[in-house]
Amino acid sequence: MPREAALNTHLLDNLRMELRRGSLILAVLAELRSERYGYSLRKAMVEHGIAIDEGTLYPLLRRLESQGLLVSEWREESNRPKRFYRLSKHGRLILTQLLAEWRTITQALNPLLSQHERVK
Amino acid sequence: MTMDLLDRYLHAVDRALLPMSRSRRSDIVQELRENLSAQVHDLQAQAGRALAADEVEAVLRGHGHPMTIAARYRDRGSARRLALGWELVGIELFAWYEVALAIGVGGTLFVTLIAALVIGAPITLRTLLPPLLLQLSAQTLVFITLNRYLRPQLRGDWRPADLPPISDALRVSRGRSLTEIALIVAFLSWWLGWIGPGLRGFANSRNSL
Repeated sequence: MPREAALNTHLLDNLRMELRRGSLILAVLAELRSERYGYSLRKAMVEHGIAIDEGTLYPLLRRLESQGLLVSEWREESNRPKRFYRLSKHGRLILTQLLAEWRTITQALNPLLSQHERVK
Repeated sequence: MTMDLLDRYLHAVDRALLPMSRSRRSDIVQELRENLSAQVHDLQAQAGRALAADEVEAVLRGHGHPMTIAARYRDRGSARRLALGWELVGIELFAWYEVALAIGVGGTLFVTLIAALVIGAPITLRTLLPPLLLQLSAQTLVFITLNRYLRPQLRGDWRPADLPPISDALRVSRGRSLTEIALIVAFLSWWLGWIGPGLRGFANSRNSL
């Protein structure tokens, strides 16, 4: 049934997006322990196997900065002005807490998910 | 050619960001320019040649429609989205919807209050509510229709080459502004009865029928 298939795809897309949203923020914060500008951050994330489109990443950086988790400054690199972002002191603290939360979740989820895999 | 395409794309983003202040818009556009240029230079280094126009177009399409990008820079949290029907109007049009609502509500209240004062009708919730509800519903319907019409284009069915050339179309000419002000003053003068019978005369002539 094409309508049902379309609804399932839509549902899956939404759920995938929800699942990815939080983990992408975690990845961005972790990558920005060292300073990077937008495009170099995206490249670094792709090299780590984390795909994120630029149209999502660049506005996200601004939002995280407005929340006080990142700091930024314009500086020249290779004769071009670039906006460099890095984790703020507050961001570092939040990242530590988020990582602890992430580890708790994965530790709890892993046995449950492998049990599901075995049953399947 | 390729830089012209990038300039047009960034100009379109700048225009789509418009409810924002000029300094904030220019900061965002400058950052996007550097990031997109770095990406284009990277691809050129990999290919060992300058990128063709369609390859630059692919970079820009991958980045997203200017209206979608602008909307992401305006995203102010999920609670606000849910509360105000973000999904119904679409994230790209939402800021314009808010601006239109503010102007619409302000304008409707102003005109209704003036009309009530001129006619001498009492100002109650019953006087104010119907025009406000009508205006809110009509405005929301217009934005829902616009969103339905724009959705396919915003979600991928668009070409950067079709973006309009850079122009200062947003700057309204002085002559046009003066004409608009003169028309508004003339209308208000008629409304208040300074020219002709005005609204009170109009209401009296209807009552005498």
